[in-house]
Amino acid sequence: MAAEGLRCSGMNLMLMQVDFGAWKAIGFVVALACATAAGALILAHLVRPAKKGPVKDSIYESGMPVFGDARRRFNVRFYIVAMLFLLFDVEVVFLWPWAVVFYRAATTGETVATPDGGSVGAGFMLGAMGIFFVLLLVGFAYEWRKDAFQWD
Amino acid sequence: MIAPKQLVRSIALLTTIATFVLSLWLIGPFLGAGSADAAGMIDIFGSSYGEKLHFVQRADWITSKNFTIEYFVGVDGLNMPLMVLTSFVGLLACLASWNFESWKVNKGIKGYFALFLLLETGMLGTFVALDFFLFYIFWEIMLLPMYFLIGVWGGARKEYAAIKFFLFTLAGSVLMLVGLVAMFFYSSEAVTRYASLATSYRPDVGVLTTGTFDLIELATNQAIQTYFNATDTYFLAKGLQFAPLMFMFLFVGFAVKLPAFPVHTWLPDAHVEAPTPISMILAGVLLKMGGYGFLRLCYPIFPAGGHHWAYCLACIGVISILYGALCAMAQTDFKKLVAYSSISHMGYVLLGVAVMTDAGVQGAMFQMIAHGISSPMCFFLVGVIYDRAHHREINRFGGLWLSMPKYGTMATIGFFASLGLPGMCGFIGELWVLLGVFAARDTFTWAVPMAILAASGVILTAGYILWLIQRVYLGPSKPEHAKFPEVTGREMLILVPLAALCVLFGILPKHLLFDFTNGTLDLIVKTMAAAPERFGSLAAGL
Amino acid sequence: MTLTEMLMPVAPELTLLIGVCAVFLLGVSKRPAVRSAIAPLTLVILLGSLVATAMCSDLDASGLVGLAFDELTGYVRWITLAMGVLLLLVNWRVPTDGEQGEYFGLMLCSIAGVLLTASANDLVVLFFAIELVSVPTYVMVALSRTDQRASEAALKYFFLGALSAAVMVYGFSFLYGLAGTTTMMASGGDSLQATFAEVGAINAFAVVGLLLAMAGLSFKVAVVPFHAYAPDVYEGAASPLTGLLGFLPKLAGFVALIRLLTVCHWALPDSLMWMMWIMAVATMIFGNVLALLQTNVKRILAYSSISHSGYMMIGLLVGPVLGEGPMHDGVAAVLFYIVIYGLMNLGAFAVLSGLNVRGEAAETLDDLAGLSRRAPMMAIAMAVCAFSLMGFPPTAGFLGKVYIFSSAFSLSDAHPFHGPLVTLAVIGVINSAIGAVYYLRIAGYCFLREPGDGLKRVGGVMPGLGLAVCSLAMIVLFIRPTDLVNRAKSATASVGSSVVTRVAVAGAETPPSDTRPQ
Repeated sequence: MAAEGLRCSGMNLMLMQVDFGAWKAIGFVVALACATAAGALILAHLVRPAKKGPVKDSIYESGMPVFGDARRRFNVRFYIVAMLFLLFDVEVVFLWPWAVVFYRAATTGETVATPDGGSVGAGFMLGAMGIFFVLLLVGFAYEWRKDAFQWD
Repeated sequence: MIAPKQLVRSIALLTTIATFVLSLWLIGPFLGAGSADAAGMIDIFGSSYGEKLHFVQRADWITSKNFTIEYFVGVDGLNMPLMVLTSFVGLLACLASWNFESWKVNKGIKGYFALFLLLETGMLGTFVALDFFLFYIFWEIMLLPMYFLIGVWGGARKEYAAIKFFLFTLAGSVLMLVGLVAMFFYSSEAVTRYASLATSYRPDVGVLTTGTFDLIELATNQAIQTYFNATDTYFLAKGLQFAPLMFMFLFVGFAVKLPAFPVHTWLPDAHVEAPTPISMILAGVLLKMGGYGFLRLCYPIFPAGGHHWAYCLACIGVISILYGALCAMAQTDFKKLVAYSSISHMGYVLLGVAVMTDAGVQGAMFQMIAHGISSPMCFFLVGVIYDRAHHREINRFGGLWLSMPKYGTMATIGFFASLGLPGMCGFIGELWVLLGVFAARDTFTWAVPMAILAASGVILTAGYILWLIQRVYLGPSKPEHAKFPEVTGREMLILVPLAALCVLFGILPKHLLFDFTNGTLDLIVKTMAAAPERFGSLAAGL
Repeated sequence: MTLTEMLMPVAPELTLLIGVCAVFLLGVSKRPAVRSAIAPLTLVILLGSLVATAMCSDLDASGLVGLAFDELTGYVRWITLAMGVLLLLVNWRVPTDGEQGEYFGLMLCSIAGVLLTASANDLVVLFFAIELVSVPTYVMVALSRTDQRASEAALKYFFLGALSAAVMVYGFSFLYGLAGTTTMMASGGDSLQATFAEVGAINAFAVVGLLLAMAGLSFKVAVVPFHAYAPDVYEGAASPLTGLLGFLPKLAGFVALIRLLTVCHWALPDSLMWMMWIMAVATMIFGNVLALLQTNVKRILAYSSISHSGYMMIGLLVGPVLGEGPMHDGVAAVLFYIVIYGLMNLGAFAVLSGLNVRGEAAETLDDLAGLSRRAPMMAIAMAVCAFSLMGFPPTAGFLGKVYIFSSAFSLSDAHPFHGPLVTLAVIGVINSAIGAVYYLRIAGYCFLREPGDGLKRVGGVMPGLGLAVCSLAMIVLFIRPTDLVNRAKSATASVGSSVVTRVAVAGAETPPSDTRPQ
């Protein structure tokens, strides 16, 4: 160990030290990614019937007719709506599994194990969700006061 | 606004007077050295370098596991005269600042004197510090006030001059910082590697087990010395021997201050732009720090490095002497001429130290003190005439002796002392250095040609100084100088002590200086001389 | 275990969190009196968090997933909150009326992020903490002044920051893939540290992961080649905020790097060591040389900030060699230096923010001309900070530099990186001499030039107080650094002990840092 540590020709050592097996694996992943993408395109090109026409070439072949450029300006208010939607959506995603666990704990008195070997019950869960909910409410109040829910 | 001008000046003056009086106290332990027998000499200077220090004070400053940075100060024959010189020049420079309100840049008197005193603190601290870290801090701290003193209260190109001065010195001292750190770690390695040799000079420490910043320990601890100067101790890469490299790192920093030939260019600029009192301090004290650094750090700690570079340094010394003198001869600016003459004179210091003989080192030391007396005098003489004429063009002067007889007399004394006229202070130092170079001819193949070249520097010096005196002081009186007032009482108060010392040091060199310094210097030279034998081929590779 | 018990160790963070809620809510108040009370309230919150830090001595993290507390956590908490108080003082008047809630709330978020970074023991938490530091700063840049340049700076900062976060988290995913866990350290069971303890565990996958993670973190600390945003952002943001940008993200970045390297047992493969070595050299040289060309003080200080990251990289490369104080220990030197750097950098920006030239904030060197005549105390404070940045005694910046450079000497001769690291220190020393040129220029403009017209002092008591503390601290910490030095020393205790674990696993006989995996 010490003897090898003494070889101080840094760049040489760098090359010698490379675990070639792992690099092969990385190369394989990269190759696989490229191959999947290329393969899909090539396969599609080979198997699909090549029929062209004005309808076939339109942007959404059988969807809505296009009106105007996609790079047009949207009203900035849509972004606020989108953000608010995201926030509340994620909260619900968090609340749902909590509710399932909490229901079991509250009705049957079941406990959940913690990493230190102890366990927590329904009271603990309620407290934790309480903290989360207070934070949520603060955000909600702030948004309200900032008129984020007003269109005009 | 709180302090009236008069009060500010008076406080500064009283402080410098008190400092001077206190510094005279330092001479005390050395007084009997002139008539002492061998035992008495050992009592005063110790039997080896660093064994005997006076007025020692030490206290821990920054401590952590494995390292201690100390407040460690003390005085021996090497720094005592320089301390006295510093406080003396400081006092005179403070007097020279008295006509502050008549300067072209009359502003911030409080700032000026505060920085002035800070500068003096830095200078005294540099000379008295015996801990490398402390030394380095004082060494750097000194730059700050100097930068502002030149930059704020200087002449037309003050900003350029101040920044150039600062950057040159800083660039020199960063390598010293590398040296500082490297020496600490190598000393720590040394005491583990040669644990059996690591007996400290301090009885309370016993055997040294950690790295140290103690300059005396670095120079005297056998473990450290053996490791530092060994041929197979390398720094950075195999082949770069530690002692020569570290010696160079330290040397560059000191050479900038000295200033030696290739790194001297800041000096003429700084001098020309600095106000008169600051020029006096710059020439009188700051330049001595280079020489002091050689004798305190480079040679005692890396004697092998000194032997390694001996030729190189001696050559730089000779070049400085000749180049400085030739440049001085070409100047038409009075102050620039004196500035270049400083480079020339300090070349003798480098040469004397480089040959490592008794006479050489003694001469270098004497030259430092002598130049510390004569150059402030010369700069003040320039300042006196600049206050009256408001220009420094040598060729526009003439016949000043007739219009200002007292001034002319003083000027002649000052410039003759600078010239090295026998019987005056400049002579002894140069003579001793030249003798020292001749004395080295057995070990130093090129000693004789070098001595001859250096001696020719004396002729060049005589050339430019006599020509200067002729152009400025002799000749017919000029009408525009007729109205110049004679030197005032205050100016005489500065000139007379300097003139007296110029003469006294020339007549009584032994009693005024050699007695105090030679004890320590001989011990340093003994250490240097023993190096080739002790450390083998590195040193012998001259 | 009750909820209270579990949350006790994170009391400082919780205090900040409650503070954030309060500050945000009060910020939208319609009453001006309430809004003007926000800055004092923020001060109270920070002090409260400091008290909480002092009180929660029982740092039992067993109930908290993804967090761990050690000496480094304590040190970072102290310095962050103490610096936070100063940052608040200097930023006291930055937000326009009506935006105090957002500005100071985000500042508290950012500070809480640094605290969390120091206790993160899980890659996910670490990532979250780092982003908690960064994301608020993007917004603060935009809020800090009503100037188009501020918006531009915020946008640049955000885009590049988001990219760096993506790169970092991509790197983390590699590490997770390798170890099968995101836990960084654990006394028993799976952790990254245990995975890397095996000889040869840092294989190509790990190298790629570490490389990407480091690239992301390098952005936070502004290391070349991830430095490009710094000058523009620093120039665009208001001066007091720039003092914050130079401290919080940098501290978080360095703490995260220390954690990451601890996980690797400070035994990186040579390829990574050389990469970091080259980055350190490039950072020092680029930062210093480009700063020479600037005339805008904020840009000068931005490049100086880059170069200082380069100096700190030296300490990071050295690692906790002996764990015996900054002189011997690269990490302790970094931890000491970053405090000093934060103070002097903030001080310099505080001077700029305290000055107005013809109604505009002072920015260029010419704006500072003759400052010593107009505002002598400001000029002195600027000089102290400039000389400290230069690394010049009698300021703490000098000691910081000495510790950083000297730590590079502490590896033994046998170590393969002994030579390169000493070379690095020499390059660093030379660079600090180059840096002296532009710091000296700043001081020179303040003292040696004649004042222009329109230079006026603005600001108030609080920013002035912050500035005074910053510049006085430079002198005080020079005269009496021992306490901070020893705190920095003990902060590396747990970082160093991981090295011992590494030796125990590998069964090496040579000193810890001298061993490298094959």
